[in-house]
Amino acid sequence: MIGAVLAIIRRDLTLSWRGLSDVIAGLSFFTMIIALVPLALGPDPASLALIAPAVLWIAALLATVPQMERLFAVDAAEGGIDHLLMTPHPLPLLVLGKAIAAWISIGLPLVLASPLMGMMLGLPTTAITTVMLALALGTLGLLLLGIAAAALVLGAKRGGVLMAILILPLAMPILIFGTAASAAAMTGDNAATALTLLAAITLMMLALAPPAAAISLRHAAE
Amino acid sequence: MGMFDYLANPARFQRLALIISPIAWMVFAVSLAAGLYFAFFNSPADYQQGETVRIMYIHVPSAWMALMAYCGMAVMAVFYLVWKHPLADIAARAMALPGAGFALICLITGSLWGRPMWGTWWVWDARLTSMLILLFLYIGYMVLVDSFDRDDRGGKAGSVLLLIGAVNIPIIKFSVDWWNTLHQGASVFRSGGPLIDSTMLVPLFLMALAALAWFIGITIMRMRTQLGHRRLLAMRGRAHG
Repeated sequence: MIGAVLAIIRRDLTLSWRGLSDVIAGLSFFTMIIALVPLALGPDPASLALIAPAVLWIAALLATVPQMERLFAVDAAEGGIDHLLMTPHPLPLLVLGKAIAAWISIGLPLVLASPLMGMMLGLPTTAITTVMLALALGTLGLLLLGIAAAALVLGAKRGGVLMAILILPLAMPILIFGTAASAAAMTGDNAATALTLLAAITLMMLALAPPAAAISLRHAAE
Repeated sequence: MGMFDYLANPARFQRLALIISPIAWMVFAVSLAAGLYFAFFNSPADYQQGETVRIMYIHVPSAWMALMAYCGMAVMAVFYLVWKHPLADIAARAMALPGAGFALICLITGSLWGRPMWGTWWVWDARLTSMLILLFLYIGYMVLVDSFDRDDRGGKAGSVLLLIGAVNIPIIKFSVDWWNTLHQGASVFRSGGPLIDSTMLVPLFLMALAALAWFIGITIMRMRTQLGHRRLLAMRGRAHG
């Protein structure tokens, strides 16, 4: 069973490694959004540092949501979903494997890029570990939510915008606690409360999203 | 589940609808008339808020109904996913637009009330933000169920979304409260009894009853329209096939 999950993670990572341009496009989109902010707001370092956590989080949300629509696209086109349904292993666990692979190829690059982006916005170096940790937890929760939404919209007439209006309202708690942890770290306050709550929400998504995605996949295959 | 099994027969539902809708519309008319009378002529102005407190008689029932409609849809989603009867899906879809309407009315009246009271049309306060997110959840549901060629696929996807939303609403509420609060706390449903004087509670509950009766009436009307529509499509399909 664990072997099957690992096999799915390995397969999805291989696929995203071979199609590396998707990862690069996502990462470039993330940096582009951040680069737009000083252009729109003005280059004053003090005001940029003030909004740095908010900008990082909004950029992370906007950069991940468009990629989530395609989490099941390859499988749907090539019959991979039918194979997932036919295995004797529990479907939610297999979905979890796909979510972890998606986090490694979509979320992790943003987490790794965030120190550089944060410093460009004037984020204090002391806050960087907390911001990275918060982004890591938050993007994992976001991708779990995204995999459930991607299963919901399989076969839908509308694509990207539909995903955004499904995911973004539900992602509000992640945004709130993620920015709260980042902002607390910036001012030198204790970020533990916000981080713990963020972790709690991500854990809830971990329990909720894979079964929801599994149900939707079965419905889509009917 | 006896009652739902009983109602699951569309013909029985139609018969029952013919009994319930006139009652709902009658209750709506009477409680609206009485509620408006009390709200405008027979209730005191607030000692701090003056006449603007009367906005409450629209604002608060809309907020209650916006939440109640979502809960009703979530219950229908469970019925649809577990017992797979199309009527539950039709009911959930029928409740969505009126529920979204209540959320919108709540936001608009809240904004009209906020201007004289807080000196601003909009503040990013916890309750306003939660209601705005609820409106987005409604919109997401309505767009999703309408995005598939097959009705049952849209209904199932919508039902799963409703359940995800229902689990998340308390968390969204909690997180938004944690984020910020400026709005007054709950003052009707609280332990220790309501803080509002009974002269204001009478019109408030009458208006809430009117809103509920209207919601029931309009939901049944929308369900019957949808049933008729599907029947028409089925008949047309048979004629061609």
